[in-house]
Amino acid sequence: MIFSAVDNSAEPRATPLYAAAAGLCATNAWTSVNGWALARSYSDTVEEYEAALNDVAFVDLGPLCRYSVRGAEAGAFLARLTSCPATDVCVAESARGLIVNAEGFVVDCAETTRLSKDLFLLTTSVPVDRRLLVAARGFDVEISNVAGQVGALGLIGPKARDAAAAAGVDILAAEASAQGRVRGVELAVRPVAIGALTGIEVIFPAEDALVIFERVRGKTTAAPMGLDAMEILRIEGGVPRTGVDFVSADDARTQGDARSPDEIGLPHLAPPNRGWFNGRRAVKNAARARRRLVLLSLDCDAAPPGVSIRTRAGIAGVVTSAAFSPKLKRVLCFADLDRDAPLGDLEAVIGPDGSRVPARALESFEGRRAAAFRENL
Amino acid sequence: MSEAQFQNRKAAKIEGGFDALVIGATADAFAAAALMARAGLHVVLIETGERAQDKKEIAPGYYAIPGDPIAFALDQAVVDGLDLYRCGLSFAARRLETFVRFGDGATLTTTGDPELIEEAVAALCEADAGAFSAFLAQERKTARALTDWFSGGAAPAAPGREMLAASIDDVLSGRFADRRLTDYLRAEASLGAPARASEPYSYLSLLRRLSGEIAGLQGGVAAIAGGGRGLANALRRAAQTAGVSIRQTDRVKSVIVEWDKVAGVSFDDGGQLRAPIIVSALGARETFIDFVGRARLDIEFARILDFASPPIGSCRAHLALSGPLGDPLVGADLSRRFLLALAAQPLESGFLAARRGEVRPGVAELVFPSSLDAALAPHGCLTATILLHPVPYFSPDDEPRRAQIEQLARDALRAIAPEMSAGVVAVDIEAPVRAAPTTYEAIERRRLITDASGLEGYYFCGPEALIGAGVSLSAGRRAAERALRYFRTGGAS
Repeated sequence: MIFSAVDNSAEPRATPLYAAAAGLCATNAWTSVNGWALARSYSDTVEEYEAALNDVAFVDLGPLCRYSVRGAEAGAFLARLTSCPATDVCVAESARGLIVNAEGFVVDCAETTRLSKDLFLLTTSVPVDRRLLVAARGFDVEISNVAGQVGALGLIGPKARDAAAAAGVDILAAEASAQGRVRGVELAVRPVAIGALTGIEVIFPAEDALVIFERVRGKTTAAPMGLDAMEILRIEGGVPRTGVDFVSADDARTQGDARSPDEIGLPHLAPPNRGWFNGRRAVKNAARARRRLVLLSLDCDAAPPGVSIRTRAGIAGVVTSAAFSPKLKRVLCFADLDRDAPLGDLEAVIGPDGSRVPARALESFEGRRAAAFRENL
Repeated sequence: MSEAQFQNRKAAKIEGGFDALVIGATADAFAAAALMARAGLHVVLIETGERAQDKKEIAPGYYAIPGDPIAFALDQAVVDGLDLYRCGLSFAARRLETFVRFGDGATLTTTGDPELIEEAVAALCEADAGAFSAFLAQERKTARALTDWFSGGAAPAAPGREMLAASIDDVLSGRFADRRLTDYLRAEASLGAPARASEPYSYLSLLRRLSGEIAGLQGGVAAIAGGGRGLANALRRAAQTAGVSIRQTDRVKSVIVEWDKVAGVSFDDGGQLRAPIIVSALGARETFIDFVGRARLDIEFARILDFASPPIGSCRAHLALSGPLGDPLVGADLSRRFLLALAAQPLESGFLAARRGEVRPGVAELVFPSSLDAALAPHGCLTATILLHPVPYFSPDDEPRRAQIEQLARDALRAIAPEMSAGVVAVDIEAPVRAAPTTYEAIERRRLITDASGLEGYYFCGPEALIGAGVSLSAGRRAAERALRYFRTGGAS
């Protein structure tokens, strides 16, 4: 007998904002994201969703993976690792992109923010430490995983900037800088989006989490928002989630499980006509997509992931993630479909008795950008 | 900027109008350049570093020819395609006999023709002669089926992967009553190999050795007139005849990449040679990491290039001998190849010691170049070239290690010719050569390196594209074929 290499028994760790979030979480419904505890819902998911949609909501973004990349070649390094044009990004600007492997399959989504001339912040949804380590060979960069050392609070919604200004943390507007000291607290601020909703993210040292939290709560009307409401916004915006809607290429058991940027509906985030990035040649020379991730609306109240999507010819794919949209009053879901499945002839098999409901393809914010990109390519 | 610097800047030239550039001065580089030029391309070969000498005087009146004096495989398509015989390629001995000295002092003389091995083996062990001959015939047949794979073609459908993963010891275990026959095959397969005969995939080394065709004979051994330099000179002439222009330079600074395609090379003085096709015969790291840069390579591809080099290698020693050899058995015919084949245990110990950085006896391959070319030694005297394997890889400046290797060469010579009376006048040690990776690993690595860089128009035939030890020219031919396909499709990837 020898010790197992796997440790699944660990409790989720507390994010720097956990203590504050726990006090607000009336439902006590928690989940684990990347090993960090995150509230699924604070009080009512629909109210949280509507607060974000119409006003402003704050979210604990601590569970995202964050790396500081410092050095003379930090920009070139990130431009190689991700499809973000990091070398062209100015201080206080962020760029969205994908991490693609050499075969042209998506590992994860990535955002790079330039905090100063030689310092970048890389944000990913899953850990990519090993990939960073391998990629950094030969580059003059110093990389550190700062996920546990910093807290992150997102202000999302149409009034996010106003709220940030009221709380005195909108240094993006005040100083056109992504980092600075506000009333004794070191802050980094960057623009973020959840689905089609934009906002800003305030990143601060873990020990100052409660100071920032109190300032935002005291000076603004922002309501806390949990993961379930974020999922609704994400699906409405047409943004796929790594590990849910597609398997990271690093975790794919076979090449058939891995997905290209085109197959997950994000070809515009890894444009083959952009400057060099890892896997760009494979993306450029990729064969025709085998699958496609499509946003569907279903005329029903719920559709758990795994529900089959059929055409007249047979099963065309499965639902990968779904949420009930309070705005559209129907279920929205991502479905992983055969490339040639006709979108006008889809049905979801939702009941145990095989009952079917019509499934219609829906246009989304991200889908429109992908379509425009494909037209212009 | 000083006046001199300004003048230097003015001297930098950008030259274009070429179809292909070949970097390096190896046999494969010349083969690739000549094949492309014969196909109608305007090719420039950039010879980096100093040109190797044809001969080196190791003692007054004694000359050594650097490089491998004998060959096991020459790609027939290159020999025919470049008409190398017209360009000066000739064999001093086409079907070289091999004289094997075993650890217990017994000997075996195989004829130059593998078909006649049965008679030779019968002299050592009559009971095994038929089985040995049949085994060798079967292995040569298997090896023939793998020839294309070894030279860079597609993997064969058969034999299965389990068979390819076998060790030599597994395959030979219990096959012959006389273990010395096993020792002989083990020694043949171990020359230049990085792994012991008991390790997986070592059986492929034997098949690789048997697959080679030289002078129209599969599995044979031949001595090229002038040794490795003789072949190099023939290839140089073939390249020049085909219209390749050869430029000499200290070093290439970088490869110019425009978008995903190579566009030429740049030099330290700022000069450039521009062409849409580049073939590099230098090492993989130099070719990709130094010339192109990690920032333009896929992370996974760059990682392939970070492999650890084998800690062991082979070392060739040239010995000047005063007077006739003296050993009647060996001296009876010096125009043969001599092989020292130790038993399994000492050979295993030799490999383990070499990995630890110690020098111990292993396999030794001996030839007497002066018996093929009398001009290499004073009248009545001899030169000998002995290849020692395995030895710890060492820096050419490491004098204590060189002294150990010199002693090892003297001991190996004495082991092959115990009754030798000739004195050793001088010993010259060549720089060691790293052992080639195991055959299967080398094939996989070659596939990844030659296929996966993704840079259009950039082709590779450096050491990592070679399978096993020794020159074969296949890597150069494959690189030229790929480059020509690219050229004919108008640069489409």
